[in-house]
Amino acid sequence: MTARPHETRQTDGLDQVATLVRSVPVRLVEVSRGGCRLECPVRLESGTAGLLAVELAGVLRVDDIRVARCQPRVGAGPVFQVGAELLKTRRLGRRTIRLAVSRIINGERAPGYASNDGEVAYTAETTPAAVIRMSDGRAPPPTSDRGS
Amino acid sequence: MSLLGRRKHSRYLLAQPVEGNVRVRDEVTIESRDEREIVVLAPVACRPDEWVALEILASGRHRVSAKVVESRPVVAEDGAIRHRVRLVPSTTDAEMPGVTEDGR
Repeated sequence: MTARPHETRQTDGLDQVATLVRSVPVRLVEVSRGGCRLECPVRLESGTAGLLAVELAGVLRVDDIRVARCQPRVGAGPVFQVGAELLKTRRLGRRTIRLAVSRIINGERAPGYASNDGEVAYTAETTPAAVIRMSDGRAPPPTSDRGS
Repeated sequence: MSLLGRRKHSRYLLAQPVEGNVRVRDEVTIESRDEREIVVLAPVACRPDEWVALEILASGRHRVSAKVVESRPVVAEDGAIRHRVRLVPSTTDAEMPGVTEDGR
């Protein structure tokens, strides 16, 4: 159970260094202006940075995130709840999650979304079952000093 | 007064959760590499049969799609826990699921 660095073949210097890119399936369950809550089947360590990609209102949107906390969802099998911060590493463009979330919250409702002010206004495509509401869930505070 | 570490923004629960994926990058050390197999030391474990991409920095950035066949914990020279991951490079142009870095 010990690493065997001396067994390295054909690898020297820069050739030894690489980046492993993994794709972790997630479900976006909660959003705010600064972050989001995800569910995923594997643990993501606090501080992990990654690229989140989701389809919102028919457009694939991406943003960089940093994991603030991750904990198993009790009684749900191998499901982890991840609180993540939406990082401002790219320009606020049409294909960013931040812009989509901002539009939803500001009332420019995309199909399936509504504001949190209690008076839910449905668009033509919106069904009541698909409306979002303000979260009253109580999750533990984030571990980083910049909460989601 | 704002409290350090506390949330500042209202949160909105989606009635219909949205499926997506997160691309996570980890720096790894290549232990051995040939046409049939690549062995790396990674800070995290990988699941067997999981598809990953390996970006090798030597001679420019070279990207290889590979399938995880084995992942075992090991103790590295500095005493840290690492995971020795055996990868089989893809023989086809199979690409790991998800999106590219620019979102396409």
